[in-house]
Amino acid sequence: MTQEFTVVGSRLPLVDSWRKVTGQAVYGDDLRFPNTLLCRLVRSTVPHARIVRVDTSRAEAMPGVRAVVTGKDASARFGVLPISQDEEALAIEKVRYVGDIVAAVAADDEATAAAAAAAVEVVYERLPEYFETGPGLAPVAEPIHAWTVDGSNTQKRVEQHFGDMDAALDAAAVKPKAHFDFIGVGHQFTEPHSVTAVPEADGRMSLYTPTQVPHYVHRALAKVLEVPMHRVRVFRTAVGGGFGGKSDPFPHEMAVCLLARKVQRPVRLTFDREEVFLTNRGRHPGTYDVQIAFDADGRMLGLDARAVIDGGAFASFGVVTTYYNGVLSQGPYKIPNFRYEGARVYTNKAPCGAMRGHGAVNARYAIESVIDMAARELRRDPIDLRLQNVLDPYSKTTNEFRITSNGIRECLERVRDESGWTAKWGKLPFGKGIGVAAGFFISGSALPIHQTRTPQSTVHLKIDVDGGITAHSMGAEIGQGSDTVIAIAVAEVLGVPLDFVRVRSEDSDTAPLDLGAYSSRGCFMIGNAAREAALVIREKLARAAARLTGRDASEFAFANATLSIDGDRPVSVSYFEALTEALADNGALLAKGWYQAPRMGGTYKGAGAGLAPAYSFNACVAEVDVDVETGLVRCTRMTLAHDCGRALNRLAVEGQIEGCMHMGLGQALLEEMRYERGRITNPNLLDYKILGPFETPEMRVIVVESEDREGPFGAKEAGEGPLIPVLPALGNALYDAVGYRSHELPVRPAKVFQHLQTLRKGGATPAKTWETNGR
Amino acid sequence: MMILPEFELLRPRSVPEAVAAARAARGRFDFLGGGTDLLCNYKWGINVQPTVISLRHIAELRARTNGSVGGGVTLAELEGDEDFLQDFPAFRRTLARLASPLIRQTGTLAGNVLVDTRCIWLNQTQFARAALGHCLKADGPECRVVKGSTDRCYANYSGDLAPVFMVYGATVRLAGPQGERVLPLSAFFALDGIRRNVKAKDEILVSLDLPADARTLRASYQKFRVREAWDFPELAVAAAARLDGDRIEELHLVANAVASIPLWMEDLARGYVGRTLDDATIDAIANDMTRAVSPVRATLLPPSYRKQMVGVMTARALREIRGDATAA
Repeated sequence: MTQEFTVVGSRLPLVDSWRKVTGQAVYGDDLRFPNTLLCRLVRSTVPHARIVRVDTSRAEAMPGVRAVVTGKDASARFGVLPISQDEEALAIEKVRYVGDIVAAVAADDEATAAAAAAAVEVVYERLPEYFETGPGLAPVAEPIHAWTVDGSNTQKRVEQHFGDMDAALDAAAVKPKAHFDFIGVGHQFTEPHSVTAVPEADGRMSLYTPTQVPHYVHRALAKVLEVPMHRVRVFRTAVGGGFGGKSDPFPHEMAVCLLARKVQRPVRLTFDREEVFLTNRGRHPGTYDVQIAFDADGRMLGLDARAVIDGGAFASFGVVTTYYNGVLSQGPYKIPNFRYEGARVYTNKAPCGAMRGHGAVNARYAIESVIDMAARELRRDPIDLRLQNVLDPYSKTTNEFRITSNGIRECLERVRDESGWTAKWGKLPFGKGIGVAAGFFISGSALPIHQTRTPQSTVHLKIDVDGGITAHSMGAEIGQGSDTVIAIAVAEVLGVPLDFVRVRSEDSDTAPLDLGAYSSRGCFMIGNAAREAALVIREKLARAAARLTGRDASEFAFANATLSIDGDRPVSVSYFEALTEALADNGALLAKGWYQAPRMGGTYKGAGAGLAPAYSFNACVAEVDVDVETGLVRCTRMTLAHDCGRALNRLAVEGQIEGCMHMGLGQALLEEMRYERGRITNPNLLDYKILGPFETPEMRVIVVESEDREGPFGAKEAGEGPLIPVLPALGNALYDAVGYRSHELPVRPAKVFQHLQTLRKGGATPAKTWETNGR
Repeated sequence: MMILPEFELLRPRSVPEAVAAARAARGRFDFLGGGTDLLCNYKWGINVQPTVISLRHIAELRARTNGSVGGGVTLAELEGDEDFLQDFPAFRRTLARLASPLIRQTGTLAGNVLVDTRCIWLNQTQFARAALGHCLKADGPECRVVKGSTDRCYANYSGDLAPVFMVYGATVRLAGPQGERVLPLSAFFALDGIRRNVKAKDEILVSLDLPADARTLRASYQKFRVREAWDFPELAVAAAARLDGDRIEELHLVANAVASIPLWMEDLARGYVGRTLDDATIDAIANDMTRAVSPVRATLLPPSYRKQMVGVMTARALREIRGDATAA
């Protein structure tokens, strides 16, 4: 370590964890305002239909029913991205999936609201239904939206070509390629969406919602309510998990506000689990075709990929996802030639969006599987082959991503050494396997969604006579620890204990703008803004100490709530003495810090996608045990090294990495949203299977610190990136164990079993060969 | 949020009182044990009845004596009954791997034995069933699994305890308006996903009783599912045998969770009495068991795979009975 820190790098419970574990944290469904009505929604039971008639008269006549709203009550469309505003608060002319909201009811109690919702009569004229992406690439009889590509259901097409991919393929010694299929998965946070709309006495509208993106909700709400933004207030309640699933402005948020405005009473709505599935925004299902060219020495010559992703009924973050499926394969390796074609296709299913590892997870599974295939063809140790091809620190990718700090080499070497790779790879008995994969992710999207020059993060600080430091930010604490990042940054700079800092990050009326919790931007951007703000305060306190001592302000060190100068003329001023002097004839100390990503990247079409002020890197080794009689696959041990620049809070970084392993393995082994003609058939947590305690492996976490020059105290993201190598490491370990390459996720035990049966037809107990174990 | 529909809750204090209450409700009621299954179904609007008769407050149903277990005994109580587990060791792992610790605190023996059959088309919310289309077992005209079936439901039996009690030779004691009756548990189930068993609607499962000589049987229950906690079985095999050296003197087999009832394979098992329990016999029994079942698409995993896994689980059960070392 080149720098000494007092708070940074410790192992700290998150500053909001005490509230959460004692039950003091206020979640959406804990809110109780006087005279609140309860809301239930009327959702479409058909996948694609024109709305002929919505008859609310029976519902409205029911005792206890106070208001009903339909598509007639709001005409403005919204969406998280300005370029694809295709959502409606309540369906206006058409419904586009089973679950689309058609009407909303507010009543004295929930049972009445539910009965009234059931009494709303909707007459549909059915339209052709589209559940697969394939047919949607060409013109269709009834496009799901009016603004698709050439009358098809294609929402977005991306084409990028750098270098000469065909030449790279011609020159290649090995060029394995493969096709992969991915099922959609959802975030499955603990807390279902729960919102309350409160019409304020001054005519403003307040929305209390567990959101990752208060600012985008704020914008969308003003648009839909057709009022200026200052007439809307967004209050972020405690968020019981998000993972990308609460990073859109949602129709139900609009619907409760419309009801509240109509009836002039607060309206609360809490989803049941099925509605969480219907709201979705989970990882896109899709196909991925990839071919990677290597020369005979193992140098990567090029990557050729094609992704078709199934967007479901609305755009959400889909344009970004379409790009990310390609451009986020630019790391962690040097790829001199690169070609990518991507398409996102609307279908009549629940809308997909951003989920932890946004756009990079399925693509990475495909790429790292194919690299594994190449290693076997080249007869190379797969870690060795990867090490040969990694990007250098402070370099540039072919598509002009600016690479800063980069600990990929250390990640690969440490997972190799700490997993016992060398003693295991190629040496395990049939049924047991070990596999490796690497990963790469953005540490905050460099470009804001709305192209303005307003900083992406601003943090305000206020200190008054009590000495406590109040930090205001609209950064969305969703359990990932962004409030703690602020507290650590401020405490570190000012040399005070962590409990001097209190973070207020809920209320759009008091907090300065922050874009929210997505694209793993919080630590880097909010952390930098908080640090900047604290440096302003530090300067004020140092000047006050200088006035008291006659010494130079720049000489003071800040630690243990004391400002001091060592050396032959030591002085020391307590934090409170300095503060009292600073407040004199001045009043409370106020400061502001902000972060705006520097300009970077190329000028070609789509050059902004995937740009980040820093990137995280990681590597994972998975060990599996296949039940060779049944085909069931268990991950027994996982070793994951993640380069987070610097761990501001080691405990939180480790927690994020463990969470990523759990979530990644869930998708690799069990999780899937199953559909039957557009209807989700497993919208509950018994049939949608997240990993249980028995399926969770022994986890070994390695924190790699590459000390990013621009990150706050050197830090980069740790919340999403570590998920990315988990799935392919598992897939590669499965191949090592039994010679079965899963070209789909989740891994199907029935297909592993079938593979084992085929091997057994040879007669004797199957043994590993060069093909299966690389030896 | 999900709201429990309204119903009248009765809390009788004795079996006759409960039977009388059931009679008065004229078929439009459900008995309630722990409620871990029934109330979930109610929240989803599946076959909700206007009256619910709780059996929680009937002391007689909670009795546990010497191989007799009351229907109201919770799974956690049974799991903690070391005498019972020593006498009938196959229950140890069965109970430890049943649902989850929380559910076992509340769920009862009778609740598990009588657990309603499950199906991917049935166990859905009201909204989902409206969107997917209703099925024969709840509000619909025909079975969705076996299309065209209008008289038989193919929902899957998912209890774990009945097959183990069956291979140990248990009897079931029922109390109803006509008094008590006792029948072999192996004759209790009736092959239909709606009817499920021969218990009259207003009869109460008082207890399951294990015969004294069951203590000398060696038994095993092998359950297959993708998660080791929470999940209902995708299939399972219960086996019990009395061995003389390695010769089979007595053998009982149940293929479980591959039909609407636990399948009592008595004829199949009897064919192997007198044989040596060697690898060849185990393979032969496993193959016979595989051939004997025809699971349908009512659960997560493909039926053909579940069918093949019946053989694997059979072999594992028999190997455990033989005394081979097994992986937990």
